[in-house]
Amino acid sequence: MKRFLIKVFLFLIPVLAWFLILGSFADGNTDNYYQHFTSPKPDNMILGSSRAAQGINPNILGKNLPDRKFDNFALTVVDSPYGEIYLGAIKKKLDPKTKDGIFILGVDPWNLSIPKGTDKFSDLPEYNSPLRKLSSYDSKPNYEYLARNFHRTWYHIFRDRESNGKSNAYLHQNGWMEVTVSMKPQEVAEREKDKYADYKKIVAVQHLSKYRLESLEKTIYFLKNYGKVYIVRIPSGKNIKNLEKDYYPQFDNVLLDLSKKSKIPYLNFNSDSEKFQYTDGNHMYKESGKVFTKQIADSIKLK
Amino acid sequence: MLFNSLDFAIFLPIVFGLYWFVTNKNLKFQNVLIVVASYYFYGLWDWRFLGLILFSTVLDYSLGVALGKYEKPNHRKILLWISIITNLGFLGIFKYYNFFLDNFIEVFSVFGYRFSAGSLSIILPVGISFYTFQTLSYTIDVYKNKLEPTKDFVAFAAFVSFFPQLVAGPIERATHLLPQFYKKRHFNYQLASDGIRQILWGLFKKMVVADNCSPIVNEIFANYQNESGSTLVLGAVLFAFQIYGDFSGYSDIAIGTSRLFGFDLMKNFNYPYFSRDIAEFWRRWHISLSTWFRDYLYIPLGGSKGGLWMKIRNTFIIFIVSGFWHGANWTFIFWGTLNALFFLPLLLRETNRSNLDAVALGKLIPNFREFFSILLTFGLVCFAWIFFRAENLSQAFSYIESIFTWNLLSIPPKFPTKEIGFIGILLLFEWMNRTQEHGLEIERFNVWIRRSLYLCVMFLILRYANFGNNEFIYFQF
Repeated sequence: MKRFLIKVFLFLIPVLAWFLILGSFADGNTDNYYQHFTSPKPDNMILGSSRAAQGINPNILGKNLPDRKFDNFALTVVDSPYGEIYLGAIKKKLDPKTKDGIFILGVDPWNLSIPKGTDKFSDLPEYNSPLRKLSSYDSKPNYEYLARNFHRTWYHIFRDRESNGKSNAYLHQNGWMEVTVSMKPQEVAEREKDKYADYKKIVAVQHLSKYRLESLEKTIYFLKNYGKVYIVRIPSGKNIKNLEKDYYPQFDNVLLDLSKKSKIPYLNFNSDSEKFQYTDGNHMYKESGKVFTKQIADSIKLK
Repeated sequence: MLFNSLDFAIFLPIVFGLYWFVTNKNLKFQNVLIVVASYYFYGLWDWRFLGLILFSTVLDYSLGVALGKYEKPNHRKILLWISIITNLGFLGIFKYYNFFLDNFIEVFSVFGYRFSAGSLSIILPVGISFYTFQTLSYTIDVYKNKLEPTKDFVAFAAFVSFFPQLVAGPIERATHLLPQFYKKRHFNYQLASDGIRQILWGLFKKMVVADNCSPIVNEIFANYQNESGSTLVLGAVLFAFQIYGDFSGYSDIAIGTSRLFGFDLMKNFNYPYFSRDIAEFWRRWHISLSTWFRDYLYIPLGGSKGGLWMKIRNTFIIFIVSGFWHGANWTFIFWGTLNALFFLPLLLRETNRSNLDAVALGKLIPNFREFFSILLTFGLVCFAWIFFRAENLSQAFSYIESIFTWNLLSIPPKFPTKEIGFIGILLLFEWMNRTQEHGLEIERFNVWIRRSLYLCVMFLILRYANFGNNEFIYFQF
């Protein structure tokens, strides 16, 4: 047995070394989530889905709300809609010593919806998200995340690392998702058309959810123990804005009621939607995101 | 839990350590550990179906005990039928209910009758086809007095749920595997180290060959209407290696893992793509299923004792049943029937047992005739695989029709050089080892050559394998 174990161990050394070395190269190029699970536990957080991930820049918030360092912990509408799983992840990510944090909760009709026919917890789209199973949220390198969620050969981690050039979707250490795409009007129009078609399909297969609203409320009450909470409606392009209006005409009223009930501000920027540029009609272009983030900071200062 | 997952990489050493260092003094404790580990292994898939395995275990154990007590043929027959009906009943409900319902509605709609019975939302429990056949083999063997009924419930539960082969086989016979749970197991260095080599080879086949072929095959089958004839041929060939790498890789890992615990499982694949005729292919492909059907269906039906026509009839029956076993879809039934048709000339000429030894024994390469036979057999198998892989029959026929276009003899525009290279390595290793247990059984080589080859295979896995939830194809059966 001893001989067997020694031999197996000797062969396992290069295998372990391979994973340890390649995993240490993981960065914002690795995938769209990895860096969320490597940054230190924050006391100021940006939450929501991909609109918040791309549209709210933690650096700009930090500059405009001095002495604060923000972490953008918004993933996507599939992985981080408001619900038990996202709330569990927020609890794991947040620094438990936080006392006067600022929490910006990005909302839109999509991250408060649920697919039709969802009657079990395991049917939720976020059920298979990395947020559910992961235990380590702040280790770097985060081998647990990579082992469970990086499904390509790990050689890609080394090959596609930042020092070889940033990818189109680069996730910064502070959680900001920087998307670099061509903003030529024709290409933007093409992407807008596709995105609108996608959302039309989504409207047909999902509906607004009491579960999501209750989860948002639970998230608010949880975070209020650690500081100030702001609900922020992140605007979109004209077509999707109109679609949202048809899909959920009472959205703002519902959110206003919730803000009154929980005594937190509702910052609604939807009427300013045409002031910003969007990469696909849904996500704000990174330069517009900076302007938008500054507006959020200004609004927070006024409250 | 998947063999190619982090969970299994943690689970296996823990169970191995507990097995050889904690429970090694007591056979009962070792068997209990196997049962607990197996239920945990399965429970990670879906704990709700653990009750089904437990029920099947308790039922067949109790029937076995009863068969040991009763001597009257009628009583024994009733006990046997309880086992058959219950086990196949579960299989029928979980696997075939919707298929029969849909076809029933369709048949009656032809005559103008409309039924609106909605299909039930039934989830297929992973491995049900495998462990059902395993428990059935026990009751049938006890009924036939080939096996003494067990009085050791823990050993029987371990036999039914043994985690290495629980979800995708090999389908073990009670006569072979169950007695192994009664005997004290001692760590065997040779067996364990060969087990590790077999696991390594299985991982190569699954993670490098099958998982790299998979996306190309998916793309070709999804867009077959826009692909050239040569690309479609390539798609069928790559699928042949995908399914072989996937399933025989699973079997290698299962057998290798069992060896680490001192168990010997039956060989499930014996280099089938080097077969010279379709009969040889079926003696070498998914051996545990083929021989199960031979022993528990073909022979009870009369086998070949009743002359040529009975042989033909029974061959068709087992191939059609085998197709149906793979899934409730007409594509599988057609695939089974097609294989029976391929068998027909061999039966008529009585040459179905003419290639019993490994090809080109003692030679480095086959002669022209052998090579041509291998190619022809492989071509037939690939042709049948199209039906196995297709979503439905019309897609399969349309795929075949699209092959025969003017660009059939062209080079496929997107030639998968890397994947063909992996297949080349697979074939080279397996050809060199075609009389050995598995492709990496290279004891005859110098120690440094051996170690270098192990490291090369390990490197190929680390460099080219995708680590993630790449499920095994046979889990769906």
